[in-house]
Amino acid sequence: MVALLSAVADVACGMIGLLVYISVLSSLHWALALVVTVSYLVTYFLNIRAAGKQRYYRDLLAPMQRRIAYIVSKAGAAACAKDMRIFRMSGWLFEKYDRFAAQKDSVLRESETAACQNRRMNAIVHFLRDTATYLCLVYLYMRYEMTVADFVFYVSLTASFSGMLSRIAEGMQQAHKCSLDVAELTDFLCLSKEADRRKEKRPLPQEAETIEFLNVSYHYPGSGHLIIDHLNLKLSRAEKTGIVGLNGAGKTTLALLLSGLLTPTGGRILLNGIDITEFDPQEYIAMFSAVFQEISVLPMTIAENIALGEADSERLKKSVEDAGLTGLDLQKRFIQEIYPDAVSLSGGEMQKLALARAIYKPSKCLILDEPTAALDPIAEQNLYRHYNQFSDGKISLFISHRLASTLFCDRIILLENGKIAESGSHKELMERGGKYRELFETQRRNYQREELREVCL
Amino acid sequence: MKKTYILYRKTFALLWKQHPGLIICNLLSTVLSTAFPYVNLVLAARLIDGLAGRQTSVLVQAVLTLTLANLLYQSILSVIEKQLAIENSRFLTTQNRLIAEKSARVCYETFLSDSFQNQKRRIYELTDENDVKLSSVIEMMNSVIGCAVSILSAAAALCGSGINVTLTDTWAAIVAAVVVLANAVLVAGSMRRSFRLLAHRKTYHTQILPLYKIGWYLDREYLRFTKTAKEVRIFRQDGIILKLIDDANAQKYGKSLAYEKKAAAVNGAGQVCKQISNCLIYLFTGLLALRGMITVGVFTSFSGILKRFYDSCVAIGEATVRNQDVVLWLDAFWEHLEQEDGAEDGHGAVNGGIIRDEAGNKVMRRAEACDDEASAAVGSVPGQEMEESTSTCTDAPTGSDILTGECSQDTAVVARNVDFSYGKGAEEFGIRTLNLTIRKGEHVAVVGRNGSGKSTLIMLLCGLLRPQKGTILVNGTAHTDENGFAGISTVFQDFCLFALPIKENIAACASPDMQKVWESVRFAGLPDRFCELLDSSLFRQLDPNGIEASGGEMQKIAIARARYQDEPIFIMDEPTSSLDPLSESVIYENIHTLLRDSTVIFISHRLSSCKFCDRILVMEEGNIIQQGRHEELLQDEGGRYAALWNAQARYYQGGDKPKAG
Repeated sequence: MVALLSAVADVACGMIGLLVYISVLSSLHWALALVVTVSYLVTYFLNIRAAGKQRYYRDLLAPMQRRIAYIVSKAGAAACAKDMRIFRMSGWLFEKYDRFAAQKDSVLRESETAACQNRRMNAIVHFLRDTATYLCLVYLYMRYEMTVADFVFYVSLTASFSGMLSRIAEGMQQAHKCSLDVAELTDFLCLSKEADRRKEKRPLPQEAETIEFLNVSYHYPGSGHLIIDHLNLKLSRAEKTGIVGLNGAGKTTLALLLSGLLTPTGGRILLNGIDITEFDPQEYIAMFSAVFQEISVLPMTIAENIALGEADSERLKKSVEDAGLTGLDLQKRFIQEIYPDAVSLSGGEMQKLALARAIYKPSKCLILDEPTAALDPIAEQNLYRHYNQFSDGKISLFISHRLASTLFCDRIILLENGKIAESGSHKELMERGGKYRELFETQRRNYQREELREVCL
Repeated sequence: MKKTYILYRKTFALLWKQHPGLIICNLLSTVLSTAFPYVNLVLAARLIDGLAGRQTSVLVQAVLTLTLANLLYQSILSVIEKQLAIENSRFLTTQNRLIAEKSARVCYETFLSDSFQNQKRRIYELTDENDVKLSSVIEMMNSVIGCAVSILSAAAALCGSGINVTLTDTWAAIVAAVVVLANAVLVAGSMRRSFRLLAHRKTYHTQILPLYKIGWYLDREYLRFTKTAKEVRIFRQDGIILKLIDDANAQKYGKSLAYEKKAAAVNGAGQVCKQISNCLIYLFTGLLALRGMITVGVFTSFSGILKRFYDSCVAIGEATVRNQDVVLWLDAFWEHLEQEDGAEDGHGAVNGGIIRDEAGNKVMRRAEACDDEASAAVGSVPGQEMEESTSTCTDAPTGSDILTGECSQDTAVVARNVDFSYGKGAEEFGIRTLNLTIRKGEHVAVVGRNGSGKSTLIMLLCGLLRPQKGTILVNGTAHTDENGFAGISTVFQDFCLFALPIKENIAACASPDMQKVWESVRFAGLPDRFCELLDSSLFRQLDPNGIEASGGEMQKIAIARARYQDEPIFIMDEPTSSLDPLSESVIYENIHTLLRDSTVIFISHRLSSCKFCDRILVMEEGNIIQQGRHEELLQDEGGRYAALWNAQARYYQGGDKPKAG
């Protein structure tokens, strides 16, 4: 935006200079003013055309630059360092780099050739204009209409004129480019505004008693494939719900719909019987606490990351204990790129931190999506032991591949292809002998002691 | 001075080898653009002088010479500029490639080390702060040559304008001397101011760097990608993020204001000096003209030449100041590029797990008792360095029984008395006195609590980390290069996939063997839809038509990648953590059948996978505390393994519910 302002300023200055110049010249002889104006118009159109071409090339080059930058960042990234070495990937990656660079090079060459052409055309126009102006001045001088001093003056003026002209041309190009960027920015900012432009919102209820899915469907924009397919489900505070299913069944999507992060493309979701679109979406989302599969931290201390601000030490202590995150100095900060003395946690510790964060936040609903993937068996057991405690009085959803975790859920939902295939308590589902049982047996099979018979449930 | 010379020489050598065009184009461009204005001045002077004669043909000729010269100049310059832009872009590609390649090829430990990362960070910081790159040396060259050309052109122009000035006139001589002196003072003054400003700028940058980084991190890393979006909304992090940014900005603002005021003052002073100089120059040349020593035309060109000359001198001053920034950057760059593996942190030259310094003498990390028999056997003979690195199992054990003791044709991995720690303090040991032998074709599981050293062990076995004491032999050899041991395939817990075609991701090369790719895909249990999508790119970052894969699918691709390499040793760290029970069971099934003859080592928290292993290693605090088959370990009911096993198994037996906590 700053660039836009300075570009506009440049153009304005240039225009003023141009007008002054034209008026000065026209006082001398109308032909001069004509020559100048015509040459200005010609260069203007030349530059507009060149700007269009440059835009075209810029659009072509942008993804190429991105590809090159991608390889550079990956090759230097700590996350890729191990795999790159074990699989000896540098040959492959740099081969790709060279290919991307060559592609960019050829497009750049075309772009620069076009720019060069433009500059040469401009030079020819300058030549014609300057020759005409100078010859006119000589003519006037020879006719005794001008003194030597005047002649020198006008010659210097002409010499500096082309500088002014190119300033205008560049300024306009720059202004155009910047205004495109600014337009993108305002579009982006307006996106959120549009969502707010709705009717007055109801205040959230004090307690969240039930959340109900009525015929809810969801597909990603542009794809017809339904990830959640006409699903009906009622969750309540009174019972803890577990979700199981194969990879790709839609478990995480269900959690995202529940928490309001995604909006159903079909059907409705009701909170305490009221359609959630009547509530302020941000407030609705803020009702939830969650642990997702990917965990990120802010450049603050561990304690600040858990509490997300000033920590109430009692509450913090309880959350940390419940999550099993003891033994860490909570005043250590994150992000090594910013603070050289920053700490870096293992996968298991990060999961515990995410759990502590979810517990700390006073929320009405709790969603845990594979919260034990990186935890050892004893830490996992610790979580199950405390689960009742920290999900007490909340609508809670537990998603996991480890079916042992669903044992402490009052109700288990088996998702398959976006639909509820089976639903009920662990006992009921085992008795039914369907898919759930198959999954459970697959896991259980390997935990059997050789000498035990199959235990009847 | 010497250092500056060496840095410049190295950089020019590099640039000349890779991009001679860049240097040549710059040279031409500078010479032309510096010399031409003088030509212009002379031609303009001729035109003005021709006015006196009042001869149309002469005047027309002068006009045409002037404008044609300009046309020619512009045309040539535009071609040079085009080539210059292309060369610049190519050069930047090369520079980035150099830095990236260094990161890719250096050994893992060096890569992780603080000093390496700091070096890299420093280069980027300096690039942003001062806008310096490798080609800045050419910028400096331009300044120097520009000045030289300027002086030469000025001299030539003076001769060309036919100035016939003899300084016999005392007034003229005195005024000339005064003017020259005054200008020298002005130039010196501007240089001094620039140096002072540079010092201020450095302090300023040091102060705002962490503040700037916060904003950069939040914008570029945290908020830019979708993976943080959920957490930001659910935990309402917008408030705290904005507060972080506002605080940083508020602090930055105060400091920026102070600095910018100084910079503005310096600029203003520079402008004033320039005008004073112009004034003096006009006085001088005006005086000469008034006294009839030069014509009007010569007056214009002479004053123009002198003004340009003043500007060149100031530019030299600026260049000297700039040189400081350039040297700083070059120093950081070359230090980084010339970084040797293991040259810091007191490791010395690392060779097959034995730590040696440059002289080949064994170096102890701490003043600890040397109970490592291996070192006793080898350390006393410095020249044996070469032998050790290529020692294989077929070498007859000569006095180093312990080293190759358990090693036979059957072993895949041998670790003897291995010690490793990440930090410098003795309390931070990751692995202590570890001994381990794994036979070829054995399937081994490594279990233990979080933080017990499992991942560290894996990294040591891969050869990415090197032990501080003891040795590790893989496939009979201790030889490692920057890629670790040869003959190993891995699936790490935090594996990395690229936004490139899936088949290339699996094969880790640009021209995959499709037969092997399909086989690997089947091994990993990827769904059928993936077989049709192998040519598509993974993720949408670089290709809007890319495929977004779920966590489970990504893990399967990583497993397929390991399978593709078909190495004798497979090492996996939690390979099925994102997979559902059926997929997981398929993977372990495949491992046990299709990889029957390969050596497999894996870490898993899901102890069910241990049941079919030939051996299980239980780790705690960097030691292997239990080893054996599943049934044996369970017998020891008070042992760690039994505790871990029961913590999981109980839920699958007899409908056990966890007690309310």
